[in-house]
Amino acid sequence: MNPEALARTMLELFLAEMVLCRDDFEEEDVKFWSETYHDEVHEASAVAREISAYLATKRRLRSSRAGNPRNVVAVLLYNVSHSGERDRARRDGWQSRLADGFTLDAIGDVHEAADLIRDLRGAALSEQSIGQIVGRVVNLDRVSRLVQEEYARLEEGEHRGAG
Amino acid sequence: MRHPRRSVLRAYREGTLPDRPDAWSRERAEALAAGTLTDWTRWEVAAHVATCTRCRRRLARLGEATAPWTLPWLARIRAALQRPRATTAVWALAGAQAVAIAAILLWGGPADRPVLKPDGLPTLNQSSSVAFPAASPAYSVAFEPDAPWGEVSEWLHSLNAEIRGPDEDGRYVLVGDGLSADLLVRSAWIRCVDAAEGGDEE
Repeated sequence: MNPEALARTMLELFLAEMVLCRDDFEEEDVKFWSETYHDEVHEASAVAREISAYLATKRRLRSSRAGNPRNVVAVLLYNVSHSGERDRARRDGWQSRLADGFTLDAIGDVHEAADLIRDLRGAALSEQSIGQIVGRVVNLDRVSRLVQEEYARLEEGEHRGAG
Repeated sequence: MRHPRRSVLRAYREGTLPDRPDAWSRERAEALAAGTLTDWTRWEVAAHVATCTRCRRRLARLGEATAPWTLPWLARIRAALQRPRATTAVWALAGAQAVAIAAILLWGGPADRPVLKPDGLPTLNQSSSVAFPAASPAYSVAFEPDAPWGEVSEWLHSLNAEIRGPDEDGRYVLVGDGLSADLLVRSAWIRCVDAAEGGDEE
């Protein structure tokens, strides 16, 4: 395995830990593996920043009475499912898996969560399907706006730090 | 590529590894990619296992081996295999006596027991012509759903072992010596479901 493939796996593991709501990993580590995976500093920073934005939004929702960190997991899964090339067979597989009652509660460890992330890539699931996975109705637009806010805030902070 | 040692996987499973190294570097990432680390951390084992089917299987097997019903059984098999030949023979003999008793309890006597093809496993190549000792150790076994039956069949044949069953309760028994059972269980396709059938008696 080359270090780039390993870095990709590491980034999937960070996402997997977030899916399990175990968010106590070091953001410095995310940066290191993003830089190992992407040669372009700009792309590496964007990936690390995106993961940090998810984490920051989770923290924000945790301290809000109305918020639920699992809503951020829903956005994350939605974005993963809409990443990569669209795969109709994978989407159909997910439809039958959901019809059988699959939810996140069936995910027991980080490896199963990482498998979930890999299986979701390209499945292009609907908001409703993602809601079924996380076991709640989530307004993805609203939560993703929060993630974008955090992303912009982090980006601004980096620019200010650099300047 | 090299792989983490069994003790490392066990520590990972038990959650006793350090979470992460003091610092990651390109050199460390390369050592991790090559599997040559000597001081594995939780994150690094997780990354290795995520990309290595073999280690994932080893990890799953460790979980089974630490289940209360398999641990003494496997420990005794291992111990027996490590003993000098003469001692192993005594162990096998004692095991055989227990098997004979267990077989009587299970099916009313080994002599009457038919050799059956497990339901739904049409490619399992069992040979009823294989000559077993009068009372070879037998182990109650279950199959992993993804077991490659052609390969299992070859293993059984080459190890002079046989799977018999199902009995009235739908159970299967692996008949063979301790070495066969140990090797088959190590394959992770077949697992021992209880230790009552004599293989763990000394």
